[in-house]
Amino acid sequence: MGRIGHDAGLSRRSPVTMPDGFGELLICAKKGDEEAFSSIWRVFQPGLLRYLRVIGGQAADDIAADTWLQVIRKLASFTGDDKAFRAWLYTIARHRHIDWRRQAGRRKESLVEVEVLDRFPGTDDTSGKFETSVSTQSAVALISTLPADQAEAVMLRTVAGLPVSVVAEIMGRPPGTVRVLCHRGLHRLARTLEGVVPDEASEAAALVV
Amino acid sequence: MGSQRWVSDMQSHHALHSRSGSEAGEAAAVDSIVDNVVPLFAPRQGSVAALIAAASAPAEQRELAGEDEIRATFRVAMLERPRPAQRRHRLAPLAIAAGSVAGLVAGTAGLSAAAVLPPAANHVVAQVLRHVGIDVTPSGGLGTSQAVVRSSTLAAAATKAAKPSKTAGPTTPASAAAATTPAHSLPRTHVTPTCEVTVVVKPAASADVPIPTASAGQTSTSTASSSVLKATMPVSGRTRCSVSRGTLPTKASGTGGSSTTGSGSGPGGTGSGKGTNHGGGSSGSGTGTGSSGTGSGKGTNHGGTGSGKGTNHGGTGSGKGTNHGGTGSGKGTNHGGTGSGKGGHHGGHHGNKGGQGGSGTGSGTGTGSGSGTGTGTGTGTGTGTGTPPPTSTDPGGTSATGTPASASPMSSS
Repeated sequence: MGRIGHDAGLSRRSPVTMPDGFGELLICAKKGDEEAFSSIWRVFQPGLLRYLRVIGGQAADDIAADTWLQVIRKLASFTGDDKAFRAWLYTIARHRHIDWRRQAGRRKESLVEVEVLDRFPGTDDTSGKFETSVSTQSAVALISTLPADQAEAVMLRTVAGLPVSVVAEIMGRPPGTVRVLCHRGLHRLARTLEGVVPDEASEAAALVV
Repeated sequence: MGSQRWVSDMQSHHALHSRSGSEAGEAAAVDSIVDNVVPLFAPRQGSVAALIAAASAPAEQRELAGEDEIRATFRVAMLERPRPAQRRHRLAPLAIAAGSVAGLVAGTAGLSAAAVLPPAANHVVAQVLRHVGIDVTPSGGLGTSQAVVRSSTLAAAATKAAKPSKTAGPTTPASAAAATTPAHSLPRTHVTPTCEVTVVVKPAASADVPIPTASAGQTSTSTASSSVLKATMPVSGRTRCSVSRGTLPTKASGTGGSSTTGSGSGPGGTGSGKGTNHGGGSSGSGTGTGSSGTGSGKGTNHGGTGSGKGTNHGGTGSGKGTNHGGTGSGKGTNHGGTGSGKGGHHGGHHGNKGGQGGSGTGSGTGTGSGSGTGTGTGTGTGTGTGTPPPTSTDPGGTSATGTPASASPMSSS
């Protein structure tokens, strides 16, 4: 289940480990090598799915499938290394997520207001669960509690391992904004883990000071 | 305490941020913030570092559950990939460009050959197309209808000339050898090809048909219905074999032959009948166009003597039509020369600008160059079939006198 010890987080880990020879894998996949494409998919799919869980919630699996479908269609026209592929992949995923949100809006789903949900608090404590059992799923769930833009910036920056410039390009925000979003997101996570819910005023004051 | 420490650390980061100034320095500073966030919170229980590490953990089995589906999707997509379509798409612009160029060249050549273009434009187009190996006959003939068959290279002409012919003619060994030699290896200077020309004159029922006179290298036969003249003659330089069809003029006469004579031959070529005769150095008659020669009847005469309907440029013209730079008589317009008869006369000593229906008596000194020095070297000989007039009724035509051209074969242009 991906349990980790506390010391495991002392060094920053790469979210995905790209094996050597990505270029060869990409060439083979372009030629129609199913095994090569499957190797690429196995490397990038976990991070992509976690990112989509944060920004897309329950639709993450569907959006991920749409993303990979688009990748397959456009694979012949792609050129670049694994970093470029990662940026390309997450860009497609974000666009698919935006499309999904638009379609969900047209489907007139009966959304439950947040105020209503507040009257029915969950029995399980996410933070507490994280204290006792830090799993990937719970970590992603905790990041999902951040505001949407902060959660997305944190996921792209730390989990997907993309540089600030690429994250800024994907999100359509200036690089400085991306940095601030990451900063605020991590700060909020720290407060959450300490059991303190930071309010925006104190956070802003801390940043200004 | 932790919170205070966080604020303190962030202050230092922000100070670094503001100090950096340049974008690169700023990026490095903020990246260092993110990179240092993990160790910053590492000592704490449930730290952000552990959280990020957990979020970045290796793949779980359920996250790779859809591998079979994605492989199947990939397999199908690879099978349906339209590779040839991309190739066609890439070649389409080239095909369109090539087609456009070919159409433009063919269209221009066709317009030039059909004499649709103005004479000046026709000449220019012919010159341009000749450079690319396409020969067209610039024809400005009035009422002419022609089918011109040309061989643009000497070797091709030699191959044609080497065909077995019933006519008597000097078929040189060189030309016979040319028939079996690849065209590209033929030495140009050693070939003396010949061209066989057949002229058929079909008279009307009431017409008095004179039999064409055969000269050296020609055979003449006459039947009740037609007269046939065959001639085989050497050609040199750029060969122009023209075959013209048409009707002999009802109003035609002129120097160089009677109105019913639809034949001619000689060094440098002679044209007769409807059509176009370029490079004729002798005389022409009938309806046609003569350049540098003598023309009569309908058509256009360039540089020679013309009579009858048509346009005469630079020569002596008579009859209906337009005469430029020469001596003209009869109806029509005479520019810069001597004109008489109805019509407008410009540039003569006694210019008559009577215009329509005016009886002009202008006579001037025409500067028409009716020398008729044949500039072509081909033996362009037409085959005219037509109905000769019972009598010549063209007042202008009968009075036309021109200077028969002195044939002077010259090298190919």
